[in-house]
Amino acid sequence: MPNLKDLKLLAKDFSILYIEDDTKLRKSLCKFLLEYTNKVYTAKDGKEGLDVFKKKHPQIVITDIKIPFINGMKLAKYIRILSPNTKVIILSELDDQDYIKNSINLGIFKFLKKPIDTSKLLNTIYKAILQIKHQDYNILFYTHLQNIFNYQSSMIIMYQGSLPIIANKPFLKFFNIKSVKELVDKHYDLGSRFLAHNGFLYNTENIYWFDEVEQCEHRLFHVKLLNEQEDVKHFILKCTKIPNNAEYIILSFDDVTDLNLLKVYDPKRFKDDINLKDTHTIFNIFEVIKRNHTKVELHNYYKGLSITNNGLLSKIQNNNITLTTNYIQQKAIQYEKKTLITSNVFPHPIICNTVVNISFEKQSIELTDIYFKKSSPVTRRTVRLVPEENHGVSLFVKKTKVKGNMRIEDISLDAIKLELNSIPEGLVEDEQVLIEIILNINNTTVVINTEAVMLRKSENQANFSIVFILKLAVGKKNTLVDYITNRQMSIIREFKGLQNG
Amino acid sequence: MDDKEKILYDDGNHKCVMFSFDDESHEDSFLSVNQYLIVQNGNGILIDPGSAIIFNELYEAVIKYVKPENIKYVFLSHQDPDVSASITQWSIITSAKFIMSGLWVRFMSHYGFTDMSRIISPPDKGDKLKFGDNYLQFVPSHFLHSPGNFSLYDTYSKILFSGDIGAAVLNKPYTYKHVENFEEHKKHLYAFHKRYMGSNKLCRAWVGTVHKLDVAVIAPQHGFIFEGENVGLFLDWFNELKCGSDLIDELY
Repeated sequence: MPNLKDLKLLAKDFSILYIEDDTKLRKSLCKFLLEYTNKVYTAKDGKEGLDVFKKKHPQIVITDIKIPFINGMKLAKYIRILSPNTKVIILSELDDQDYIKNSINLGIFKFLKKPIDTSKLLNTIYKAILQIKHQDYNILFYTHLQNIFNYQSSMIIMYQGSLPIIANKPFLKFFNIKSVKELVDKHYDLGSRFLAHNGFLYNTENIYWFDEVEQCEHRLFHVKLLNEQEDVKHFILKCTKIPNNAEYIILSFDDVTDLNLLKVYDPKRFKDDINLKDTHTIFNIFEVIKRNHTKVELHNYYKGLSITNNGLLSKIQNNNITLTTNYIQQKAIQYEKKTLITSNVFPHPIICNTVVNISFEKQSIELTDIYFKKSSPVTRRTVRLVPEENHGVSLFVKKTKVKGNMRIEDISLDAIKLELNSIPEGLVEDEQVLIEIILNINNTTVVINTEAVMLRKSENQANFSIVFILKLAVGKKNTLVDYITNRQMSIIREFKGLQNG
Repeated sequence: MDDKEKILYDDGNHKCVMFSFDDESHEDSFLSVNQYLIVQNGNGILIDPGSAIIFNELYEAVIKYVKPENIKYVFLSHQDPDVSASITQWSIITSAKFIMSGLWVRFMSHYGFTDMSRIISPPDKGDKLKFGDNYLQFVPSHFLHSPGNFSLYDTYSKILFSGDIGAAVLNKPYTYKHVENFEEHKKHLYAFHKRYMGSNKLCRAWVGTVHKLDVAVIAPQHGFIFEGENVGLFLDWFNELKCGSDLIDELY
C-alpha cells in the first residue's frame, strides 16, 4: 500500500474514468477518487463510457464488467485499439469468470473483485500511475535520443538486443521508410541489404553481420548497402555499446560513396602498383578513421620479433599523419625508422617510410612517405626470428654438402631462409634437400637435422636468399619451438636494453 | 592421476576435454592443475594452458583432438605463470588469438610475448564471442583472485571454466577429478579461497552473475570439477565465504 500523501502528489495530474451503472456506488467511489485527483470522469454505461473516453482521453479507466450496451470487457477492447497505453482496471464479481477467461489478449492492467476493497484499488491505481510514468519517461528519452540522432549526418540505428528500436532521419530516408518497424516488416534483417564485396561485411554461410559488429565494438567495417530505389552506397559501419548497458548498441553508417574507394577493395582492379601509391585514397581512409576515433595497429620488427601496439590518429596534414602510441612502439619505430599500419578498413597494410618527429613526452609520432604495401610481415602466420650470430648451418643438395659461406637469415617452425654467396648447382624449386642447423639454447648447442623443400630464391646485391620449407619430425619440431621461445626471450631482452639506452 | 585426459562433454559436434598436466617436481604440495580444450567442428579454444614446463606434453595431447592451425583462441583467465607462462610457445606453434584481461597484456613480454595484435581483451564487465554455432561468454571474476580475471562459460556444453574459483588443495588423485561429497570437499577448498579470494562482496557478485547462466559443470583450473547438485552447493558455499579483506585482522 503506498503512502497516501505520496499517492495524492503523484495522482493529482492523472485523469480517471469510472464506469458503473449503480448510481449510488458510482457517486460514492467518484467522491473517494476525487480525494486523489481532480480529474475524475464518470459514465453510467459502456456507450457513454466510450464517448467520454474519446473526448477526455483519461489515462486510467475503472469499469464494472456488467454494464449496459457495451460490457466492460468489450469496452476494454475498444480502448486498447484507441489508446494502447491506457490502463484499464476491471471490477468483477465471482460469476464473471466467463468474461475473464476471454480477456487474455485485451491487455487489462488488473482485475479487482467486488465489493471494492479501497486499499487494493488505491494500490492498483498507484502501480498503474508508476507504469504510465515509466512509459512516459521512455517515450521522452527515446524522443530526445531520436532528436540527437537526427542532428548527425551519418545514418544511425539503435538496437535493443537484436531488435532495432530507433533510427534517425537520414537512415529512414535512405530506406524510404517511416519507422524502424517498417524496416523490420519489409526486410526482417538489415543485413539482407548488405551487398557482397571483397573485404566488406555481408551475410555469408559462416558470417552473420550482426554478430560480427556486436563483437567488435569501435571496429570499422566496410558495407555496401542497397535500398529499394536500387541506390548502392558505400558506408563505414561502426558499433558503439552504451556504457553499463551493453544490451543497447548504436550502429552508425558513415557515407563514403563519394570517396570512390570501392575500386581499392576490388582485387581485379587493384593489381598494378600505381594503385599502391594512391596516397589520395590512403588519406581519405585516414580521415574516416580519425573521424570515427578508431584505433589502428602499428607493427614493427626487431630481429623478427613482432612489436605491435595500437595507435590513435591525432592529426592529418598535407602528406603527414600524427599518431599517439605507447613508449615501446615509439622505441621500435625509432629503431626501425619506419612502421607498418593496419586497420580492417585498409585493403592492404600501409608503410610509413619516414619518421618526421617522435615526442616521447606527448607519446606522439609524426610519419610521412606513406604508401600501400601488398606483401609485408604483417601477414605472417608464424613467428620468424633472426638467430644468434654464432649459429651454424649446412645444406645438402643431392646428398652433397654445399660449399661456401652461408648463414640463416631467419627461421620459423615452417621455413628457413638461408643467405648464400652462390646458388648451389642442381638446386631448383621443389628440390628436396637436407639441412643441418646448429643453434644455441641456454648455452647448450642443439643440432637439428631435417629434410626441407626449396620454395623460392631471390638475389640481393652480392648474395642470394633461398627459402626452404622445413619438413620437421615431431621431436625436432618441439626442439625448434624451445629454440624459438628462448631466442624470442633473448631478443626481447636485447630490445629492452635498447629502450633503456 | 594416471589418466591425464578426461572428456567432459562430447555429442559428436562439440567436445570439451580436461587435461591434468602438472609440474611433477612439486607433487609434495599438490595443487593439481587442469587445462581445458573445447573443440567444435574442428576448431579449438584452449583454456588456461599453463606453464612452459608442461607445454610439450600438453601440445602432444591437444593435437590428438585439434590441428594446431585450427586452434583459434587461447583463453587465459588471468596472468599467473601456471595459467599463462606458455603464451610464447602457443604463439609460435599456432596462429591463435589470446584472450585475456587488458590489465595483464603489458606483462606478457616477461613471458616472451610482444605481438599485441594477437590479443583480445574483453571489457571488464565481460563479453561474448561467437564460437561455431554458439557463444562463449567471458564472465567477470575480478579479484577472484587476480585483479583482472575472467571465467569462461561455454553456452553449448554449459560448462563454466572458473579459473582459480573452486580450486582445491588435496592429495594427488588416481581417478577422475570430480567432487563426490561436497561436505567432505569443503575443507580442501577453504584454505585456498580464504587467502586468494578478494572479499565476500566479490564472491557474491560472481555468484549473482553465474546464477543467471544455466551451468551444468564448474571446471576450475586447480583441483576437482563440480557437477550436478555440487554446482549449487559450491555456489551457496562461495556466496557465504568470508575471505580476503573480510579477514583483514588476521593479516594486519
